[in-house]
Amino acid sequence: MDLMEKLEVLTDAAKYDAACTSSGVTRRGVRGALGNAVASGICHSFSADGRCVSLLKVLLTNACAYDCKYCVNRNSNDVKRAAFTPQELAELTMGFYRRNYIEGLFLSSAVAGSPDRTCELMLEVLRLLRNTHHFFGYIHVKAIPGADARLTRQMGLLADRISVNIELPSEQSLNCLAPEKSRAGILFPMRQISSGILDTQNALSRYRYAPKFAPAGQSTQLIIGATPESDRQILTLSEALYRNYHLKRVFFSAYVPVVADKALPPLDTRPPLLREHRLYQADWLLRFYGFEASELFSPGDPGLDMALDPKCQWALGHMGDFPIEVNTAAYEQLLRVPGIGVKSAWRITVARREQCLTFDGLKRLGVVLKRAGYFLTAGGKALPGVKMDPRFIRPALIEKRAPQSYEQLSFLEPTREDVQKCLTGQI
Amino acid sequence: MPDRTDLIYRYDGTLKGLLCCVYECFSSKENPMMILPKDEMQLMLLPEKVIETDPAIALRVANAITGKLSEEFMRFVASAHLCALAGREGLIVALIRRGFRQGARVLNDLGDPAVNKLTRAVNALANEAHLYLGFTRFQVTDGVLTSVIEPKNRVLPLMRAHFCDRFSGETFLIYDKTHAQALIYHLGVARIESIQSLQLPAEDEVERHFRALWRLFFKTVSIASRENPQQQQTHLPQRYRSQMPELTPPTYPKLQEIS
Repeated sequence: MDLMEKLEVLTDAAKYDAACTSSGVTRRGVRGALGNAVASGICHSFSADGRCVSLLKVLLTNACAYDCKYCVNRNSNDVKRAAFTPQELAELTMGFYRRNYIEGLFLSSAVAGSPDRTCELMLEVLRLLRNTHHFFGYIHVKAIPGADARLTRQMGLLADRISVNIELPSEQSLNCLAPEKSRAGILFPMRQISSGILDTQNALSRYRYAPKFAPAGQSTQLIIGATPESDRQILTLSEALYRNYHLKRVFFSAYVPVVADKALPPLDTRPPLLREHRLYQADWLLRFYGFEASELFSPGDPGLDMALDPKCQWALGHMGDFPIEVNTAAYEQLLRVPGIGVKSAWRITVARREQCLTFDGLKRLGVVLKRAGYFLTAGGKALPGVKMDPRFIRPALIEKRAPQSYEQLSFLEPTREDVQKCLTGQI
Repeated sequence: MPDRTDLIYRYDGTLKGLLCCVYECFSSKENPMMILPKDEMQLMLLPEKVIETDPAIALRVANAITGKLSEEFMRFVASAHLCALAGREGLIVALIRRGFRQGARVLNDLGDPAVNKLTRAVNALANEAHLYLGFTRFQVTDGVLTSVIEPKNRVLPLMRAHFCDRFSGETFLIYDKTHAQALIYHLGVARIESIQSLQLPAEDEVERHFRALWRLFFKTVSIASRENPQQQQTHLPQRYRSQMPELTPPTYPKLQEIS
């Protein structure tokens, strides 16, 4: 099998992993060697599905010993199998990196024989890159649950980010769909990595050249829609992961049916992309906007509203807190206004020191008032034409994707402007 | 008496030249209607004054801005000068004059139309420079990396530190086709030079192989059932694509090269 064919098979097998970020660590390059790392991450391309291509995302091998029902690489599935040799993969990475195609390597693998053996093979790739080729670019590596703790530790010392995929959000689903895996087996390496990162931070505060263990942190992935867990369960789990395991990211991956099985949704199910999107929006609220998972759900309803984004949904349930005044509200309050993000809130706090903000001023700052207009006052005044009543706001906020029907323009039909002119006497 | 406004300044198009214009404004008590590079055409019948660039004066003005206002203010001025914004010179000089009157915090007055316009242009510049850190594609010929980009703004000075750090052991050239400039790095020294045109060497066998691998990877990594050309278009607008191998069809060797 030539390199072309291997690359095709092993990319195809790895593409369902959502994580492709190259962020979280800044590392200066070394004189004469190749590579550095940038904390913000850099996207190098965007594939036809609109996702960022930042890392060379491949499996080392897709010949798996396990038989997880949701997975395309399960050993009972009839697909082409391939494996890179460590040398091939290291050279491919160097060749791509030098041409600025990629930001680094995302290395995952099916379980080749046993978890320990898989880890050894992956470690060989990492050592080749770091020690032989002197590669200082980004490396994201998947820890293999069930492998020896010492092997996981060595991986973390060579890579920037290390991750373990939980995949299925509850113990029952895991037992049902991935009989070889167990929740404890997955959480054990996560706990180990989390404490390894904390130890490194302590050590680095004392001596500058302490070895860095996974400096870009740890992440994980949950599959959405393969099993019956609710949004509330998923977000509560993510919140616990951020708090207890200090994860940098929890990725959500809408389940794409790739294999037929009684325990799984049928093959013609479309991936729940909107649900994935809403979960990501809620995830951002947890990480950057000071929300808690429990705030986002009303007592009776364990799901997120698909028609509205989670912040709008929350705001409509708390109309007592609104409207707030842009010129005096605290940064934290501004962050809770639908339509105002971290950047807009920051710009408002900077600009209002210089002058009293009006709605025109807000527009000039680049604050979008499509949603925010219903929840703000500027200088004590509301946006003209806005009724602050949840019954009117909800239909107005629901995004209109395409016009419902074409409206025939008419000279006789009074437009909204005409009505206003009549009222103000400008006609 | 108010400053005289019925005239146009001509400068050499460099940041130093612009700083000399600032000096001229104050020393001759003038507030020109427009400031234009020497080679740019205009249709106004106002008298023109050519401002000669004097590095010593430029340094004096730069020191005044850094000292009396702030280093951030000077960085902002330098970035704003790299933007592709019509009439930016006039806006920058007006901002500096206002800065000397009211202090460095005029930069925070984002509600002001002039400050706002410049801030947006500077953000667009920084954004474009960041995107090009990822979207630049190198071709390897005889161990030298070459690349062509077509940015709207003059992004090369902002890309310099990143690429020199990342490829410190290499020799590379990034050619900015829009502004006919190139960033050249060789043996640890980087410089930006004007180059009128650049003919890249034809890709060799190894290059063709890597491009084919990259195209294959790019095609395979996309999930068919999630296809979303609108989102791809949002993140990667057409104007960036012309120099990216994965989004342009492969070129095949000519027949005589094969035989």
